[in-house]
Amino acid sequence: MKVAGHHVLDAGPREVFDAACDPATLLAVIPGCEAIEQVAPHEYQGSLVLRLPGVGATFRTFVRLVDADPPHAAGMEGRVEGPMGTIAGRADFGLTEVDDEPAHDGRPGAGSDGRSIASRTLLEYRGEAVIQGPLARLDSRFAESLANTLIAQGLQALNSHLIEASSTVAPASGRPSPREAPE
Amino acid sequence: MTVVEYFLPRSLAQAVDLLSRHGPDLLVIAGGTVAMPLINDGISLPRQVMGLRFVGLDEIEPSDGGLRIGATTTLTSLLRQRHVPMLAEAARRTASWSIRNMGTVGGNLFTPPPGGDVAVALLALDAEVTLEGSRGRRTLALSEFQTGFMTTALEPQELLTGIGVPAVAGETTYVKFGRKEANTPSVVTVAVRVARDGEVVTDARVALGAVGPHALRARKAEAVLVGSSLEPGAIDEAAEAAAEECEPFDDGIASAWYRRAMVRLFVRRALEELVQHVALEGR
Amino acid sequence: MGSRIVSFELCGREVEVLVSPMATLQSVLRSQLGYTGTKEGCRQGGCGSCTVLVDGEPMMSCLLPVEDVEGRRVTTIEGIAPVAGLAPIQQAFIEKNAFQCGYCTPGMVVLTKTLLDHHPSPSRDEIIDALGGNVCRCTGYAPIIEAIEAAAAGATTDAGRDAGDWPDPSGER
Ligand SMILES: Cc1cc2nc3c(=O)[nH]c(=O)nc-3n(C[C@H](O)[C@H](O)[C@H](O)COP(=O)(O)OP(=O)(O)OC[C@H]3O[C@@H](n4cnc5c(N)ncnc54)[C@H](O)[C@@H]3O)c2cc1C
Ligand code: FES
Ligand code: FES
Repeated sequence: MKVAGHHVLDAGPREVFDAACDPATLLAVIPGCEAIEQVAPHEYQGSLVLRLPGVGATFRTFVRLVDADPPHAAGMEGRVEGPMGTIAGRADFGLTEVDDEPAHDGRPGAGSDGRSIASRTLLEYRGEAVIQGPLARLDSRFAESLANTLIAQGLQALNSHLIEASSTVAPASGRPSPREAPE
Repeated sequence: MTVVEYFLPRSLAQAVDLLSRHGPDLLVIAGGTVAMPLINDGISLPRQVMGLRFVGLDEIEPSDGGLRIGATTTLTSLLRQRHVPMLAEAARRTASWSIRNMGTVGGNLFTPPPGGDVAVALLALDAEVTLEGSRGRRTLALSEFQTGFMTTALEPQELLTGIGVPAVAGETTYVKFGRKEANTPSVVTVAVRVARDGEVVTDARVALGAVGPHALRARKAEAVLVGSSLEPGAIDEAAEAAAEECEPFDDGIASAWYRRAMVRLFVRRALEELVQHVALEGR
Repeated sequence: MGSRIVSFELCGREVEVLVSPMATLQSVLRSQLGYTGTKEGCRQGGCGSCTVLVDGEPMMSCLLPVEDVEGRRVTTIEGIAPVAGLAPIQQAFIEKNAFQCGYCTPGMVVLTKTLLDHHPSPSRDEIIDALGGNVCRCTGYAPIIEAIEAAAAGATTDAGRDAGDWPDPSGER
């Protein structure tokens, strides 16, 4: 299975990178994510509940960030395990700042923390995964289309989250953030 | 077969209660025509299943000039109703007699493409869905209910209980194109509805199936039609717009390229059919 | 929880079976009740060889949990043949050479039975529509359609053959 795509997010690469390493954010934005915990620096494990038609299952997920080059790029290795089989793979992300008009859809103006919240990030991703078990007998279109749907929903949620964070408090000030964990 | 418990609740209240007690690991099925093939194949391996066949949500009733359709109404009942001809036609073109006797209208809204032929007609009719669960009841536009490939806005503790078709204006046509005449997966399904004031189109819906993650509205095509009088130029332009904005995929039935070409052709044919039909009626 | 007892009417008599959760009607008929006339083709709802009637309506028994037919009336091919001889539909299939391997035939005959119950004289288009979910991989559909037309017209040799030529599928007489 292969997936690839890109998405423009309404925050700078640093904010995007940090949000993507924050379990609380991940819990809020990953579709169906019921629990997530950090098990080591850059290693997470969690559970996903997806009520897929005819199937409906709980999956365990393991994700590890590899080759991180904050805030420009990162690789992610992961595994999703459920009763229907296992999906294991790797995805690579690139984050580039895009210069253009301040963001659209009703986003408030300059932030109080002085960050230029008009900055936006182009997130590009490309991933490959191997499907094993009963799931592998389905047309790979199913896993690919589903992955694309979940990625699109996740990135949309991440974007709303980023917009919200930038319009309230600077995300780093409130709670201790695991992204500060030593490299 | 790994199922250890199979529940057949006799009322919606029982079904909602079972769902909240057993949580998301309880697989819900209605007619079973999507779920059972996966279970028989060992692709889906549920341990607990709830069947909705006897919850009593299988009534179709006219309401305020529209229609209320219980979620577990069979496709056969939809075919037999006379209130909304496009829905009867959509049911007629879906699956086969035995499958229509089992499959439900609600289940069709969850069916991944190229399935979901009835959903396409419902989308063109601005249908709404009613969702009910332990936290109450809510109503959502069908266009907001289908959120992605195999995903919907249904919350884990909710069931789909009904579909509402409002009293909408306009003429409709429904065209399903497959590789065979009957019982065939769709290459593309097109449902159009056009309301006019005299010659001029005041409102239009162009809904497409089997060319996206779920039933889609071709909004650019709709915009082209509004204000036109369905003259050949406008029809061609709308067909072109629909072909551009659809999101087709490759499968064993057709390539994405072919599906896009067939969107162009069948949106045009659906609109031409509608024009012809109206001309005949007008006489 | 484990198995449970399900009772329903099968071809005119009451049956009770102890079944594991969500066993399909198809598997219960074939493996537990010995009604092997109902065939097993795809188990995907796509071939029609498992067609049975539930309260007179055709359904795919491979997609039907047996618990769903509790208290209902199930008719299989075994219930369509009279105790002696053959039903006119069966006779029509023989006379029109409407089968070769015969694997699709029970489903076709069961479907025809309910079609003719609903529409005693269906048009050719109605016949074709009704057959949409039943696949025949060897005979082709023309002889099957002709057989159904003949059965509808009552144009078969009455009463069929001597029942003794044919084994009784349900094993009881
Ligand atoms: C041979 C064959 C041919 C077919 N041809 C077509 C075709 O031409 N066009 C087409 O559109 N479809 C086709 N289908 C697919 C299917 O029959 C229909 O889409 C049918 O409407 C599905 O309904 P169901 O009740 O059987 O779904 P089920 O299998 O009962 O349900 C599938 C899933 O949907 C969810 N669900 C269903 N109802 C509810 C509810 N009320 N509340 C919450 N969740 C629910 C559950 O997750 C469930 O597991 C075909 C299927 C077969 C086997
Ligand atoms: S075995 Fe049931 S339809 Fe093929
Ligand atoms: S006779 Fe062989 S499949 Fe029909």
